[in-house]
Amino acid sequence: MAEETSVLYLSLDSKIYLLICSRLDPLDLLRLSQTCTKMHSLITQKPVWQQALKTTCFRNALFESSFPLDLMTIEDLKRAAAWTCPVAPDAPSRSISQLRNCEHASHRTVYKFAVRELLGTHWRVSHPWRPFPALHVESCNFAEGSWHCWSLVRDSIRNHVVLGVVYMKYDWHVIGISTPIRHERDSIRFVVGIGIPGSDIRLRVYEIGPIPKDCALDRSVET
Amino acid sequence: MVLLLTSDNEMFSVAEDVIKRSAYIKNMLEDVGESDLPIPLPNVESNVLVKILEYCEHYRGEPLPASDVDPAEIGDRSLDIADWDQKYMAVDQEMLFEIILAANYLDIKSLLDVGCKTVAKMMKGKSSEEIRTLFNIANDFTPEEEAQIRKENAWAECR
Repeated sequence: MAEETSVLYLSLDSKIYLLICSRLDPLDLLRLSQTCTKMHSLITQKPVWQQALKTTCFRNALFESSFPLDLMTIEDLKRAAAWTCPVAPDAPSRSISQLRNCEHASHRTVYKFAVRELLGTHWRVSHPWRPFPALHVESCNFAEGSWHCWSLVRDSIRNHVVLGVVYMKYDWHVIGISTPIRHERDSIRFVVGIGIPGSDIRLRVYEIGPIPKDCALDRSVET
Repeated sequence: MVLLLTSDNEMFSVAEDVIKRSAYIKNMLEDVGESDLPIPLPNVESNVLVKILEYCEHYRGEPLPASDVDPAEIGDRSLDIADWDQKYMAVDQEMLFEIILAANYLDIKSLLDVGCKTVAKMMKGKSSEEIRTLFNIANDFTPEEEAQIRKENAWAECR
């Protein structure tokens, strides 16, 4: 009986496995892939991890089409899928007040990018962002301490991939920790969570772009 | 009424609006039209078909899902299962996988989805060894392969 179950279980076709896998978290997938060679070969397929990454995006209110799924290697996909969004419910609420302090005066001048070594050097090397650590590294230092603040000026955004964004406007603190995003010629698209000072961050997701014309980007932050 | 013939040669007579939850049979009825001939289901045994019909009967009258919508594609990736479905799926593993196979064969998307969710739920949070025990899977890795895979996945384990 038990033997039969095993045979039956392993005889499910890969379409069904893909369906089952689409319900599993990345860590569950990795554990499942360690059970036997059949599972391992099934789970070492790109579609499984593309699906897992989509799920991660869905669960963390990220913009899934921001990932270049077809270009990512399976290792990239695994790591990105296992990534947990720092704006998720346990993100320290103090980050809101710290962010308020850091750039509020010039409410429409600066786009800042919180970048984490999410996908390893492969990504970092190909995206020559200049670090802008002086002012706000701490304020962007979310739970794991691996965040850095980056600035963006309009001219430099073309054809780059952005890993994350912190954007503030008026009394609304739009805090977007989006994941890799493709850029159009003169616009960036990213997804943001939004919060009002003193309240919790709401994980409503916005897409902003092209950059509003009235958002003159402050070049002085570059130097 | 529609006649269905299972792999073990049992004949079932089923109301058309019940069995139409199976896209496979729905399409067949639409293609072939009225017929007194039974539809053979060489991949489904009678005890499984009884179970499948129980599901279709329960959801009789509920709107059929759009045929081209994949539940996993419309953002539903939760593991929430309706109470009735949970009770329905409280069967032994062999039957669970038979239901999944039959739901796949008969193209009953919602049932296939519930089945896969049920299996995923069983796997969730378990170690590799626990999953092996649960489904009676033999560990067929060589020690070298196993060490290699551990190494590959080390980044995730230390999180």
